[in-house]
Amino acid sequence: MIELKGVTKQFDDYKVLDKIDLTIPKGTAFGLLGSNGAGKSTILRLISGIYSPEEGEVCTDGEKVYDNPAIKEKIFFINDETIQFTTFTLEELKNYYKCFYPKFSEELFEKLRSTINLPLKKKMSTFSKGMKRQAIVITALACQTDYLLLDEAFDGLDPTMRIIVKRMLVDAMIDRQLTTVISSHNLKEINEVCDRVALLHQGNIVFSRELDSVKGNIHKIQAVFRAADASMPQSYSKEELSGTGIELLHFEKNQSVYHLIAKGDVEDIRKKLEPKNPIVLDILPLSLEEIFIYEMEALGYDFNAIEIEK
Amino acid sequence: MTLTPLKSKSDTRFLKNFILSIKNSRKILVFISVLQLLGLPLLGTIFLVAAANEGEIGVSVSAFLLISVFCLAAAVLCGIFVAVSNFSYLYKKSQVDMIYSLPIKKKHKFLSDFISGLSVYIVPYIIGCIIFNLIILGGRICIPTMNELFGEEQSIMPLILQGEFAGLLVMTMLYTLSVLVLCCCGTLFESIMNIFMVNGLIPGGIAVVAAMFFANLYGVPIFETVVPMLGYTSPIGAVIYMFYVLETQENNIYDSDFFCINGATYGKWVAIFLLFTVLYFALTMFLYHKRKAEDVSKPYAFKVLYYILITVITMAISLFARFDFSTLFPVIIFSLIIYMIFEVITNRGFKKIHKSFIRYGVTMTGILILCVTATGTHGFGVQDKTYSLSRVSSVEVNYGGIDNVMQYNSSYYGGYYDDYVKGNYIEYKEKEVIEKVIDVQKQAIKTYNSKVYDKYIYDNGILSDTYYTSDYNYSDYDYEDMYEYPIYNITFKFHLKTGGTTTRSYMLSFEQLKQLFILDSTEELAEYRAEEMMDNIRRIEYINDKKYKTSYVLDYSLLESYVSSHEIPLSKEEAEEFKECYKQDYLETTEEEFLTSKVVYWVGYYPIRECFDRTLDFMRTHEGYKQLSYDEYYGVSQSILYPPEGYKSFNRENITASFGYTSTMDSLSRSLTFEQTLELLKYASPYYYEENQCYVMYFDSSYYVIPSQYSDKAEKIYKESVNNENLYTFDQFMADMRNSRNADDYIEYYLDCNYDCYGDIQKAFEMRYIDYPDENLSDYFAEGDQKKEYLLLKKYFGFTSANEYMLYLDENDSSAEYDRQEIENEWQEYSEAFPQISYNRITSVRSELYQYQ
Repeated sequence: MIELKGVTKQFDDYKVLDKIDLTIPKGTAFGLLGSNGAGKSTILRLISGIYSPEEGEVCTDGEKVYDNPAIKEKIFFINDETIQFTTFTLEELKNYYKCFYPKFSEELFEKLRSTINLPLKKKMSTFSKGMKRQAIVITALACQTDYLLLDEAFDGLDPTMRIIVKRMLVDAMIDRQLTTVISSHNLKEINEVCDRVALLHQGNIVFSRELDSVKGNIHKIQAVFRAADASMPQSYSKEELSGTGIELLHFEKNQSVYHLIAKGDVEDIRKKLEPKNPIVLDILPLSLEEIFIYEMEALGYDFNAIEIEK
Repeated sequence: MTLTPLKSKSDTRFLKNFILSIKNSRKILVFISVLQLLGLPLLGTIFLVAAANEGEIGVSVSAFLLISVFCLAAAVLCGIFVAVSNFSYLYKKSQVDMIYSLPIKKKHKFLSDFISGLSVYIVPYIIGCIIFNLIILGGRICIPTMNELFGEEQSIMPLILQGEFAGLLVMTMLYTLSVLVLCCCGTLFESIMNIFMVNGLIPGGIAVVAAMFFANLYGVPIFETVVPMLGYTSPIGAVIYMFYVLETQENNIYDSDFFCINGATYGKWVAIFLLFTVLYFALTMFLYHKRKAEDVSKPYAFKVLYYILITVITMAISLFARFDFSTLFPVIIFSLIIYMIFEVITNRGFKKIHKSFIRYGVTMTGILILCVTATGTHGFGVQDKTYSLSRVSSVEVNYGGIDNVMQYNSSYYGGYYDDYVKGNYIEYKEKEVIEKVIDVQKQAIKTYNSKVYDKYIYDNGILSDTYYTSDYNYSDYDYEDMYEYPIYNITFKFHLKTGGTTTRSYMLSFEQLKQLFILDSTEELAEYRAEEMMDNIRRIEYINDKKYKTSYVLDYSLLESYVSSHEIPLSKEEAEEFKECYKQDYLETTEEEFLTSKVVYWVGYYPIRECFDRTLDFMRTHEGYKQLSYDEYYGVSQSILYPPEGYKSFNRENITASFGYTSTMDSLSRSLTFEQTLELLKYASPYYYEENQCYVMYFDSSYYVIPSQYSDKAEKIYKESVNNENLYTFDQFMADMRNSRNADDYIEYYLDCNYDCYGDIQKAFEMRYIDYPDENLSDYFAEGDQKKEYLLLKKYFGFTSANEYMLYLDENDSSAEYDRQEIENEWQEYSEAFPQISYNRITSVRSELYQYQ
């Protein structure tokens, strides 16, 4: 289990993470979502022991990570760059990491390598971005660590390779309870792979829970209201609808059709809207991407707020 | 799965990272190895070639010499390159994640990277040194001329070994400093720039601080203090220090068998240099541990380095104003510009430029305050500091004895006053001596602080000492009281009980110097003088550059100029006995006796006084002793007698000294005949001091004082002698030349630098150089033409024709009869025998001739 307790991380005067608490259970596939500069990569680097926090603790399996080789050999971090490997051949890269990770499996490495057909003795400077990414992923998997941290790790992979890599990850998760923490802007992949997610914004955790729970907690509502009698209003504002007790993330009215994004239990929302006499009330699930956009909008990170000059 | 203890896992990771690091540095290792092979081994080969060709090397070999030196220098500089390569993750952002996420402790990562880099750097050098030494060793066996430099005679092999080890230490420090800078910086540009700056600014900074706060402090030998500091703290400083040590004789051992740096000096340097290297290493490790991964790509991970560097640079620029206050404003402007340039580069633009101005203001204000404080407090009290007796374990003084003080007065030796007292450093441990030295030190400082002689203060520049001018050209009226005027340069080295050493150099007045005369009654100084005496009588004979025989000869003379001497051969045991006699006599001689006891003999530079009973007894009772007489020195030296009112010592009326500052009135002087000189020599003595007015005789290029109890005898002779302002006339010269058996000396010295006459002079020498008895001059020469020609030389020297000679005869003695034809015939023979000399005219007597009598 990975725990971040009251962690604050600062770079000079800029506070990237502000007293965050986060728990990543063992054996989960955990997705880190957030706007640009929210602190996702920082969290991954804290967990992998690259950074040390100004305040708080970062622990894995109950022990602090920073400068702790015994814990760090359980963690493998793949960042979003590939340039650091260009001077290696795949064989040299393998041998390099093999020195530090005692559980490194030659068999597994060879199996994975032959699956994706990467050359062993060629300089990685000649590899494409995707091939470099593949190389580090199979090396990481061959190290057989308990925790694998991926920062935009699928970037550069072709669709087929993405599927292959995802399968490798899933196999590892199943075989040895690998805990995977993935930071990505590709919410579709997060949706496919992860079972828990956390949303970060401006150094704070907006939420952290199971993906199903996240999806089950935000709904898209399409409604048409008709006044039952003259005493009832013909239309409702956002505040009036919020006044029913529904947590509205998004409000849009197109003539008589209301498009709402609301948080909460489905039945609870229905009950609260019933008094408004909806003649149409469709409650639809949201994709993770839609959840992200509307959650961010509620926090002020709204694409409508950014005006593009014409 | 077996459980592996954590500690051994750490060792494994350490080792694995070390091996990985070496593997990654393969190419650099090969490159450095090639450079090192082209360095010392190639140099050794060139030595062999040179030795085989007896010192001759052609142009092509000279080119290889250049290559060798260049490669060696490049190999040394590779230390920076190795550090930059091994610790690339400290400035390459792309490598940060990969390296810092590895399961290895930071400490182990640092140590394995550090040691692997150091190994790659110095192992090729060590191999190069071994190969060089093997080449030299092989050369010594195969090539005889190699022995001259590297063999048994005057070998410089010890120096080479010292140099090789020193090179190893210098390279280690260079590498360590490079890693230290890399830990402080976050980009490649700042790292490289600061590595070079740090290597320059460590010695530069020390020099700047010394110049800023401690320059021109009286008595503080800033150069001698600063140079060792440079040597201990930086690679460049170490090279400077090694050259300084090689130049300074006291730090060298130059024996007939080998040459190297003095063991104590070298050992001290090694120990302190290593200590600083370890300190740098410890600091590096600490900063590496404190450094964060996110510091990469910042200009500085620890800005302290930057602030130190920029402060030193600002201080260096401010030195101009320190020594010339009128430049303060331009200095401020210029230093501000430089400061801002650094700030803009470091801050990557003009961000928070107002803070840069504030920082500059604080820095400059601090420097000015410190500078003013340092000047006002005489270097924060350094100048006026003296140690209490309880803190000093011993003191070294470069005082060579009262004889030394008296010795350098004469124009025979020349030199400036500040050389008068210098001898080697002798260490004294007696409390009485240390107390006296401290007391003299306090007096010297007090004299300086009283500012009485401020108008004579002279300093050479930033790092030199301040001292009183000792320029001879000042008139008597400028030095009001030469007795109190500080002209004697002396250096004290206080060895403290804490282990440190403080060196101070002062100019002492004679009154202050006299207080050091107690050193002459110490065992240490007596032993030193006796050892020097022993060296003086030791003779080493060499055959084919090999030591053949050591013998001892007591060579003594009546005169300091050693015109003629006599020898007593001694065995080794007798020589030891003589040394002991001299030492005991020296020890037992009181200050009064040193100043007044008549000098009866000279043994080398050492006066033997009347009170040296044992020494004189030894001489008299040994085979070969001969009592010398001044009678033998006819014509050697003309003497002049000064009355008391015509001779003043130290500008004081009541002192007569044969040394120190003297002024004479030549109008009151009298030339003495040889007989008169002999008479006064019975009482007169060189190396004399009395607090009375006495007669003084100038003889044999020294002042001989006639003690006051014999003033009546001197007065009688003074009155009898001729008042002759023209010290030496032509007639006297010609008379002396004809009377002297050393006529060719007169001839030679008169015709000095006239190269055309050398042939004639050589001929005259050959004619004179015959063993002759102590009888008539006419019987001195061999029979035949040679004798006649020499007599003709003595007769006609100085004249350019027979007519001129006859005119001379007429002028000097109109009644003399001579045969004109005979003179013309003789002149013919003379000019044929000495064609050049006979061509030269004497029109006046050079005053310099006087000193060659």
